[in-house]
Amino acid sequence: MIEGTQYKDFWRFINLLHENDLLQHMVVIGSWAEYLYAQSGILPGFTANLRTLDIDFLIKNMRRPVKSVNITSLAKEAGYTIDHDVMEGTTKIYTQDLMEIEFIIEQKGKGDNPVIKTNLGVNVQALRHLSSLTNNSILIELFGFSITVPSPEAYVIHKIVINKDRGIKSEKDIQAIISLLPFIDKEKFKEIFDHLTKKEQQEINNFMANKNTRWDGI
Amino acid sequence: MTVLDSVLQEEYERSKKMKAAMERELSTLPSGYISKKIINKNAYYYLQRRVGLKIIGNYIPPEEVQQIKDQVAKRKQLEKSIRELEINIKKIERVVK
Repeated sequence: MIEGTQYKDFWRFINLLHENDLLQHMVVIGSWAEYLYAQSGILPGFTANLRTLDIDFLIKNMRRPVKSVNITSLAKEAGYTIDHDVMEGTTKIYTQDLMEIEFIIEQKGKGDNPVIKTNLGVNVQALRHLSSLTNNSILIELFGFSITVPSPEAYVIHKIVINKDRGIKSEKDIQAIISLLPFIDKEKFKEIFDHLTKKEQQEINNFMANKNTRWDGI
Repeated sequence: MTVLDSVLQEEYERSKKMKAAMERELSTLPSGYISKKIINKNAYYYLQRRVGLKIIGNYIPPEEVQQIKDQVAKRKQLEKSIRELEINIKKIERVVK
């Protein structure tokens, strides 16, 4: 379903963030991170098989940048369609080539996935289990942009931890995990695993047992 | 549920939401096209649109020409995107049936 114009759309939005000094405040997550792993060559031999029309950004810190910027205004000026989802309360940005750009943030403290107003002018859903992504991110230099993505090991770990809560996206995520597993660094994987909560570690152990996947060191 | 089923279902829901948002934005934009007329060597711009059998032209003040041009272009782009979304939605409905 991904066409050439949608790759252009992805880079066009990356450029919009870059030009407004906002790219440094985001982590590209979701399947587009896999595309960046493949494009940058950090995982030799890896090809990203499945991408979606969603581009997801994890906002590193809700209070950054210090001087608030309105992404929705910038995006609207640049020709994007802005949608304030009434049901979820979140802000979504649509591109003319039918891609959906969404932002999320790590949930801290109590509550059930609250929607948070950020200094970036977007209302975002706060989700749990994202700290492994922000704490283990890497910088990819590609086409003149410095883009933060989770390390492939953190990406896989996060996908496994949330897998049972992913509903219809669960199977697709499993395919992504399976395709990335041969390329990840066992030592780094173990290192991140050791810093997870007991509950998260249990999720990984259960997943590996259920999928009959062997992984030395876990 | 297979990977294909889940991708299709996700895409179906996403397309419908996106179409609704684009239709909302479309309703805020002017319809028609811009025509330029030269009268006594001066350029005048009009927003032309069809109303029934007639073409109605509304004068656009010079300071608003660029804004209206952008809005008309945005409308065309949105109409194209909505047509594509409608095709996507129909395709998925046919596959899922």
